[in-house]
Amino acid sequence: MRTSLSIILFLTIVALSSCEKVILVDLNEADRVYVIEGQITNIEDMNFIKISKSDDFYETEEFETISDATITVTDDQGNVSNFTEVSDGLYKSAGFTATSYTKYSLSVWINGEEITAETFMPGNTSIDSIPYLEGSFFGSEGFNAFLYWTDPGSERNYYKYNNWQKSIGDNAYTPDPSISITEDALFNGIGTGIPLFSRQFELGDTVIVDLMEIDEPNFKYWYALSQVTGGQTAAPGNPISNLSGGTLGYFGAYNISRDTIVIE
Amino acid sequence: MKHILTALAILLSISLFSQKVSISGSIKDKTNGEDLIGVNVLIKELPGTGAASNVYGFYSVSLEPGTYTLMYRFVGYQTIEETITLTQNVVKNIELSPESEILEEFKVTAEKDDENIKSNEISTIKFNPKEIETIPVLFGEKDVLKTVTLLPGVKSAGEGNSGFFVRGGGADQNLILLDEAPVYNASHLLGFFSVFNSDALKDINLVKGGMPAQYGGRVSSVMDIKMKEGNSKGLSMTGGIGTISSKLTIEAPIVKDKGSFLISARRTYADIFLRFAPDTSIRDSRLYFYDLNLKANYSISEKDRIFVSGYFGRDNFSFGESFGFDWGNATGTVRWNHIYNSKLFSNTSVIFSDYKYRINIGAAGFSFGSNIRDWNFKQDFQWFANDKHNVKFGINAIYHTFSPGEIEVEEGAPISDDDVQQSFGIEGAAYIMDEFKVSSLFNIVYGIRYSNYGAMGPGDIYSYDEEGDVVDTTTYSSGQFYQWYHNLEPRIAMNYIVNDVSSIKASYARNNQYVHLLSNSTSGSPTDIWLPCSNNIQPQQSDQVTLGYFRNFKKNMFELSVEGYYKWLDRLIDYRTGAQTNFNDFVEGDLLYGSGKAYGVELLFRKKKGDFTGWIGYTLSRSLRQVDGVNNGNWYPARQDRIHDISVVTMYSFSERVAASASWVYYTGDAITFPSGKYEMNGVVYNYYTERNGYRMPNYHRIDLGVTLYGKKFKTSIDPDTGNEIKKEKKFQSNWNFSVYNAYARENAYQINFEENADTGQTEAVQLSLFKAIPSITYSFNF
Repeated sequence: MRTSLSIILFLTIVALSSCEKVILVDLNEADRVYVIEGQITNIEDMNFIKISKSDDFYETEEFETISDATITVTDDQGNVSNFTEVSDGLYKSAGFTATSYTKYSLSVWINGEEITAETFMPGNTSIDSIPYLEGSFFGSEGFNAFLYWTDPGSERNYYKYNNWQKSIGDNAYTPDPSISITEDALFNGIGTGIPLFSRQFELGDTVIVDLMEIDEPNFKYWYALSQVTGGQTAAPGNPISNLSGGTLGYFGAYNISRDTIVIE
Repeated sequence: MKHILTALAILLSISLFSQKVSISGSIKDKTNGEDLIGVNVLIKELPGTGAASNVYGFYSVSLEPGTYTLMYRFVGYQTIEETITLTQNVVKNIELSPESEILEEFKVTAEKDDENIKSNEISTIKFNPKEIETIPVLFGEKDVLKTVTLLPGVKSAGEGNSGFFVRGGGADQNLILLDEAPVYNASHLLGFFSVFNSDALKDINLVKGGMPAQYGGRVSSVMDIKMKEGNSKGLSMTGGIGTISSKLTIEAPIVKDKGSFLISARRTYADIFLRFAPDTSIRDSRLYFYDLNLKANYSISEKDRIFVSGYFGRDNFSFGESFGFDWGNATGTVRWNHIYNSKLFSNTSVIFSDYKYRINIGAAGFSFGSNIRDWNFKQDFQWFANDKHNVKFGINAIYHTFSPGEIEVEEGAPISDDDVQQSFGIEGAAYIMDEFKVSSLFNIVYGIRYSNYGAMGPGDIYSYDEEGDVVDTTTYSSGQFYQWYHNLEPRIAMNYIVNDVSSIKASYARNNQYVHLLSNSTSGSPTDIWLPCSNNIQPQQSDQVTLGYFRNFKKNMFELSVEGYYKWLDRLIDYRTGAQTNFNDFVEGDLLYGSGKAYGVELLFRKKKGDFTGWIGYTLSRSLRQVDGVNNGNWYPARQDRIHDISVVTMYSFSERVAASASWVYYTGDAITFPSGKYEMNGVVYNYYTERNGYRMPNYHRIDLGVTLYGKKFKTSIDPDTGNEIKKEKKFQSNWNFSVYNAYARENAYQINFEENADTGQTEAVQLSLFKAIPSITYSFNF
């Protein structure tokens, strides 16, 4: 719905000959605060905790990363996993995977200060198919892919989905930077599909698609973040985080169903 | 509150025991039979007494038997004087002739135009669309909602936006009535146009404060718009061809002097140019709106008159077959005027009002939308008790149906057809008010309005905890009320006439609002949802006091007014960050409640007569909010907290055939939330916010210029008997209007986005401006 609205607005504005320019706005300098990205999943490679600090808006240097933090993730059975630094500000735990229907607590100690959070790993919903077709949508040509799955009827389900694209000649996959989320309010218990419109693919592309079930606070977090970044919110603010102490970011358990397609 | 009612009853009973006779009747325009609203009926022998015609042109004056000279006086019309000997009740219908321009040249001492001093209306803006004809507007499309923002105390909701803010209130706190029917979304094309086709309109009345008790339901203002009745003397047509739209209005009698009708239609055609596009999907796109106004009235007897009026408008946007989006209002009003006796006038209305939007995703086989529908019954009485009291009373009941999310799916679509739960409610009101002429120098309008709201089932009603999570669910059956709100709203407005040229006015009014608009976007959108009061949402409330000084100079050629106001707002609605307002059964859990205060001073200096007319308006004001859960609970400026707001409007008539106009506006930029920092997650930079509305948009200003060239208005011939030149008004009148919006091409900020530059990776602020020097041409005619 948001996309369709912004398309309309865009078209109208283009039709009315608008103009864009970069301006300099005098902004306050805010206190620098910790930023934690904590993602635990059922795929070991995908688990990480990253700690950095916020910066002034016009700062051109790289963001400051935080080393030497003590990080543990504890499940509701009391099993503790330690996350250790593998590169500047990035922490991992070898052999750790999150399991369905389990509650996890995060504890991060930085300079004698503790930041905590909790998350719940929902069940796993698998991808049914990822069909794609060639065509033009809103004037641009290419292949559009669609993600299909069947929603479990019993409970409220919240999803985040993402894709990685590798075109011919690329060495690595590039992630889709957009925030894609949905919930089953409109398709509870039925087979559903969503177009992966944030990106168009070319012939020969390899595409990895992840469908991730997440808990409600994480869904709300990503929903708020996508609204705020859309630029159309009347009153933007920082999304409500499950991290303590006004820390930016999130701690989430993501139950991933993964599939790979080749456009041919 | 009991004391107020007792006092009211005593005051009313005084008038019951005098033996008087009355003179009553209707007042119309002689040329087209339109009812004239607010004509002063004055008695020469009794200064300070008299009456004014009501919105249906009806008047009544009660006097001791005797001989009197009555004067029927209305601005822009020739005054009629009648000497009448009254022994019993008399019906006297009057037709007034407009003061044509040639007459004005000879009549050096025009009749007194001191309505602003004598009238007990405070904080009220009145005009008819004719008066604003030459003021330049965007795309040359005359628009009452935009012109009204050029007056103090009324602020535009943004560039090219037909929404408006009155005295620090929100855009949804204005009650917009079209022939008594509430209009829920008054804008076309994302707000660039209003739904009001000015050719079909007769009279606009905006009350910013001290509302009379007959109005209620919104906490900031009432904009009462009345459609023309239609020409009851003969066929006439008005039309216009413009850069963006064309329109045509037809008026004619049904039976001469007994009934008439009006049909007015307008359509934009910007999308016609899309057909020349090379891309097929653009070629098959649509982007237009149209509206249709209809009205008919008929006098079935001397004492009964029926009115039927309706409005229908739609916006339509589609992109080939894959995507469609349409929205619009439909309203209908059936009214019955009945004159019980020479003193008691009644109007009964049944009103229907509907707003909906639909988004059709043809590509995926489903459509969704939302709908609000009202059935509204109103019974109003006006009792012309005597020469000192004019009493109005009545009742009103609205049955609301809110359907915040409706879904239709084709078979096999990846979506289930579960609608968001509907809600139902009854909004009721009863009022009584008296316009009391205490003396020739002091008059007072006082009254009280009782209003209520009953929320009813069927449905599941949720209660929420402080975090907005559901803690309890109760199921109610159809017609079962689960929450009632009752409120008493005292209203009072006073006018003390200091002398012939100056007066002091003061007012107090309380208002309650039972329906609320959920708009989570900056510009207002057709998908905004209306939400009624419930067990969670309480009615919004405002209390406003005003004080004003009015002074005229140079035989009423210049008017000056200074008005101050202070307004307290309670139980305003705000949102949690990331609130989901569309398709959310639990939307009430995403809401926060707070209070507000707005205060300011408004200055208006106006020249109403001569070749050079216009005004300077200045408003100095603040509008602040406090909401627990926003901005750490501290007070913060509302978006519409524009501290300075200036508008200068000038119109100059060079000759009978050429008129030019210019308007300049300047205001402090909106209060807005900008980031005070940034942070990175997963390679993407996000903005870090520290306070709500802690920054300002750049100050806004622009000038609009316009020139109107009129075709020859008069036929000149020589009277064969006297040899004098005779000027006769031509039947066919036309004009060309050329205008430039934002003539000095100021790049006013519409939006400022803080984002990462895709090429350099540097974060920067990007300003989007919409309209730079937009020229337009309109050809208009009437005959």
